[in-house]
Amino acid sequence: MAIDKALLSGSTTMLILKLLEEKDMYGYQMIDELSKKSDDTFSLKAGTLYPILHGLENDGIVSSYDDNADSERVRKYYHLSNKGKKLLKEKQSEWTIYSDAVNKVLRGGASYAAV
Amino acid sequence: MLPYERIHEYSKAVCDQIKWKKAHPVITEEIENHLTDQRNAYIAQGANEAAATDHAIAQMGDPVIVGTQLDRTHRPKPQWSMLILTTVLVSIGLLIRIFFISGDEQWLAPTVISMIAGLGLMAATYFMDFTLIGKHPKTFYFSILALSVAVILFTPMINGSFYYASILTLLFPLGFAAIVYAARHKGYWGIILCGFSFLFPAVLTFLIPSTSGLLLFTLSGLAILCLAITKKWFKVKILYGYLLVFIPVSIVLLLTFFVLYYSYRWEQIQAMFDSSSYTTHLGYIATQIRALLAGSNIFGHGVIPNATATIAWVGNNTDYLLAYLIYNVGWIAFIIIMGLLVFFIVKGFMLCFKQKSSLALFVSVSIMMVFTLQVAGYVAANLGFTLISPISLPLISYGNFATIINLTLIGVMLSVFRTGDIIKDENINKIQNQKIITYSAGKLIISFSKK
Repeated sequence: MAIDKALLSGSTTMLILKLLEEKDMYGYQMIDELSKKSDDTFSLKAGTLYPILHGLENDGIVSSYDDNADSERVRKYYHLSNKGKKLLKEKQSEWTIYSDAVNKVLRGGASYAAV
Repeated sequence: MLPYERIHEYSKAVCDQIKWKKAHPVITEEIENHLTDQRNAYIAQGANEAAATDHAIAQMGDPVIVGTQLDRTHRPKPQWSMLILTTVLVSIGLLIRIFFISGDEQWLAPTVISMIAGLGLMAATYFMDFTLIGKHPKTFYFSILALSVAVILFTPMINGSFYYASILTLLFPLGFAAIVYAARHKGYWGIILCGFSFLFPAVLTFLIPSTSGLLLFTLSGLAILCLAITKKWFKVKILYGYLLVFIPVSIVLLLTFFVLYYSYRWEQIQAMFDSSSYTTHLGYIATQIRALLAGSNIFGHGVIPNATATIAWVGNNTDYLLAYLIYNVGWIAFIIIMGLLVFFIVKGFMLCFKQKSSLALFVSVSIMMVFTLQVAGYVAANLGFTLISPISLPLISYGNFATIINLTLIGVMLSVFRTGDIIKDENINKIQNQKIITYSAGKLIISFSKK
């Protein structure tokens, strides 16, 4: 089912950083991987991805370089910097705290599930 | 419209929103690559080319929105702290001259005019495109040589040397850096070519003659060349590259050593480092400077009896401004000025090594070397190691021509820091990475994308 945009946008940066933690990727590859890893739940639009990536690069969270590893075409690969790795850890713990809190609230209170 | 044209039209629509034109090539390439990948994926799933292209473009989103967001992150970076620091240093130079140096007021107008001219040149080069150096490296190099020759031929000698030409030697490292940039990727012959391009300016500095200019140029040149070899830009084995550079250098050093050893200079050099035994050989200047420093305090005026003649002489000699200040104002003046200069140097080098393209690195490092070596030479001379008379204390010591040259160089360097982010080596010289026809993974690929 389509996920509410508001839910997605907050954690997009964190997901992108997580992808790059694994290995350096170029834009299209990231969208592909994200879709695969989330079982097609997330299909990030390129128009959203690139401004985020360029902004991250400006802040030193990621760095970029050119390579033609995959094919004859030269592509711009992104690499997670040390600053980025730290940010990823922060955002992950932020997310864990947040989602735990949401889950607590959902589990408590009226439950309509069959017992 | 043909599908590949539609992709190009899309990326153009995005770039229309990005005010900084220099960022367009990098962004265009990334977006078009993406759209092509996306379109190919849809084609692989069975769509026809036109539909795949439309779908890919739709997936990207509104080009205006994308472009506006990218515009926000792609702006040239104004170098406020370095610009302010530079202006502060220049002002300090002016203030020192106003308050501490005696003499008639005739110097004021030319000095102020040179400072304004220098700052103007700095602003001009700051907004100029530094990649011009990379696009026409040989022209740049030979222009500097030609200018120096012209200055030697047409300007008067002052105190036994072509003064203005000796200041122009400050430009030699940048010219050398341009040649090293042009010769990168050319292997061992590239290094040899750099060696030859080192010889011409070196010979010129002999003719001026300017020992400090020669030393500055040699050290800067070595640093630039070693940096290039270490970064594998010559594509040679690092060890062999260093050998190729340092064997000739060592031979020259040995020769120089022998020449010095058998000349009067040797005792003078020894005296510099062991003044207790060799004071008679120190030479007039070194003795005076060391006497001044010995009588100085941390705050306030120093005390040396019978020193008025010395002080007057030192005060009127721009080469020993720091020693003069130390004696008259105290070591505190030295500490403050050195603090600012060291901050400039450290910040400058840090920004140099953040640069992504090799041209940006070469240009900025060569200029920082020129700045740093001037400071080093000047400080050494002013602390009593007066073997070689220094060129200047950049922006502070009062040599109008030197201030103008230094400000121009700083302008070029700050231009690199301002715009270096989106400069890629391939885009500078338009080396085509994409061939029109390539064969890979069992497919014959014909690509007509315009660059």
